[in-house]
Amino acid sequence: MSSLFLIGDSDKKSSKSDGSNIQNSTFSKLLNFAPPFCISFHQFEVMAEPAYTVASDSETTGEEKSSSAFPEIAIGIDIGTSQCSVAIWNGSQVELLRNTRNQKLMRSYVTFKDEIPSGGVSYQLSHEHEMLSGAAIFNMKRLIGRVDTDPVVHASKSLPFLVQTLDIGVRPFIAALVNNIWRSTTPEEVLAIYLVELRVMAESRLKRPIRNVVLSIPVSFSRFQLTRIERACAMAGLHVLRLMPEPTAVALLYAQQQQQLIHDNMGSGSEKIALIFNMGAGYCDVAVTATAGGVSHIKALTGSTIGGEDFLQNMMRHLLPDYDNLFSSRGVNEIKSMGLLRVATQDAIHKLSFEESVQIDVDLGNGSRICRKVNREEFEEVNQKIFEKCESLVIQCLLDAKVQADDLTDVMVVGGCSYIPKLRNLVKSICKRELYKGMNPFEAAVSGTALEGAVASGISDPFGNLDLLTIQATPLGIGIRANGNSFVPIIPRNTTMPARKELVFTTVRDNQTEVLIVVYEGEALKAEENHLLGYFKITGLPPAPKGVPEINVCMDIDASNVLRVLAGVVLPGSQQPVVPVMEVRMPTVDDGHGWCAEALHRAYGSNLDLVTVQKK
Amino acid sequence: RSPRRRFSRLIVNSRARGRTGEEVLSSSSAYAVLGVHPNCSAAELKAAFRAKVKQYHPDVYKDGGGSDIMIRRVIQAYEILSNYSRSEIIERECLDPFDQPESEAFDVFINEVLCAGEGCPY
Repeated sequence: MSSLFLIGDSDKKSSKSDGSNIQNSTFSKLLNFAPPFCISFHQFEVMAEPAYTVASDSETTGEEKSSSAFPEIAIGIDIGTSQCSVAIWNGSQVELLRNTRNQKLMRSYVTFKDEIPSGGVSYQLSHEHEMLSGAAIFNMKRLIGRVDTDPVVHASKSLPFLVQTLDIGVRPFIAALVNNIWRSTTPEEVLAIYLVELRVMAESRLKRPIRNVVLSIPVSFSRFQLTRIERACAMAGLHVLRLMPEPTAVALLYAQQQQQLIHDNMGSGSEKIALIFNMGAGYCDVAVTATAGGVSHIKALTGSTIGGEDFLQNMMRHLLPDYDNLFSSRGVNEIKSMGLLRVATQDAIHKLSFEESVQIDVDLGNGSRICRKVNREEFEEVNQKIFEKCESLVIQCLLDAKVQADDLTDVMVVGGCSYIPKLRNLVKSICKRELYKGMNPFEAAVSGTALEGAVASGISDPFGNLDLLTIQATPLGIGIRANGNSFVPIIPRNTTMPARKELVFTTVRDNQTEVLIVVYEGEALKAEENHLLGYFKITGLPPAPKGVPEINVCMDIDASNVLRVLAGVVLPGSQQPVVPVMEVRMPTVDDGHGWCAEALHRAYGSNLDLVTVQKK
Repeated sequence: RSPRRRFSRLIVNSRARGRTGEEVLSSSSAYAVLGVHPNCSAAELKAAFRAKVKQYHPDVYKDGGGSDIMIRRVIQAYEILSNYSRSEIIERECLDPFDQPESEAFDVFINEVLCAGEGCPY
């Protein structure tokens, strides 16, 4: 009976939902026909998105010579909540690409001030406050793929643009203030516009078309959020070769550095266990990796949506306790005041990383003025909960990796928050180690994605600098709703990928002819508190007493990180499935997951429920 | 917990029936997958695992299909044999006497498979 799930194994690399996962060879051929910067949204998915075209200011004709004997090297992109960067393997090392203003790190925002939206890659802000005028959308990484019941979306309502929620589990409404009109957009669209700028920048620097990219993503991103990132990339004409959880990109850079040491006869070839703590403006991620011989084996990943943005918001509320009331109306004046406070607070937080105390003096223009001294202790107290969460992420990651602090060889703190003294100290004290000094904390993740881009593009290096591989682990558990409203993981968190696991379930009613398989991703015990990935029914079960049919649910994550859920039914004594096995690529939900789950519950109640098979 | 046991039995059955496709490895075949001797040290086991990863990792193994099955098998073999083996694997091991390394049957089996040539320790 278990041969049920052995059919159709992994050699069919079916394409991703946006149709962009074309094999390399085919893809490079297609290059000749694709106009370089014309993005048509409708060609990827049927969703009501406005189609628009972005014209390149560099190469304007479709004359591209891509029929290369030389494989195209994928670029690495780190899309940060606050800053982005692009890097590539230049043939001998990783190089970060600079924009026309000679910046390697570019602000992540898109402003809708003029007819053509422009982002932080090309656009020069006249002043920091311009980003906070309501016309610019930023923090899209915090908003992408989230529904309006998500607390992270609610926290984003204090940003100077419009984030409107109806609290029913659909996509939030986002808009930029242009000439006193709220102009609607979506996080995917904002990200796509930004990615087009990055792509144009990279193409003009490298003097060739760019298609393949490796992106770093937060550990806590659900698979649904990953599809949104892929979609934004597809809108921008980019093909996602790999999505790497941020600390695993850093781990790959570390693996390369360790290899380098051996080549220089300075290191030993023995296995090194490293902990990577990565905290930016939007997310905090931790990984434990075991590295030797250029192979980075990810042992565990933990992550949460906490970051510099939370430090900032807590501080703003601390400095101005009436913050939420004052800014609830969100007129032009309120947005301006909010912007002034934001810049002043941000500035103060930066300074507190290097100074014990800092003087804040800001006139909010609405009659109130904040003039006071803030010291580091105060900052740490206000953000106590965030630091505690960071601690728990590190401890949990060590626990999941089955590693003691004493086993660690190196400990890295990277990302935009890496200079905050309290963070450095808490990681040092848990890991009982001084911090690793061999990498630039702001460039580590993007450098790792560039390395993976080169490796996954099949590039080799005569000096062995690209003899690198990552063995990834699943950052979140994947399972189904069963046993009432419980979440039953089938592929647990931190399972090495690619993976295939299965569990047997059975019916809860006599003569139950249908079962509903609802797939979730996450860690919460209650099904609906996890991310809904999709659902389908198995129908045509032959009448049988409850508990008799064996419903085998198998989950498969292939080498391209594509998740397939297979489900089949057998009756005891038989070896053949009674109905054809269902094979469903997940996620299937496209939007409004909160809505979907509730609608399912309303339509079916517990009639099509499942339970795990009990021990006899 | 309970479903694991059922799951395990299912797999054992499938192997007994000799069906094609993916099977849960016995520890003896796990050694064979990684190409190491049952007496190998932890460091040797790790090195063998990495060597196989370098061979079958999807980033490097691009000869058509089959990479998934191969890399999964390598990972599974390593998980069975390393200290990080999961509880369900231990549970499964208990169901098949041929998989228990301490039993005599195991030694006989190994002798047959691995003791070819001059390197045979027995």
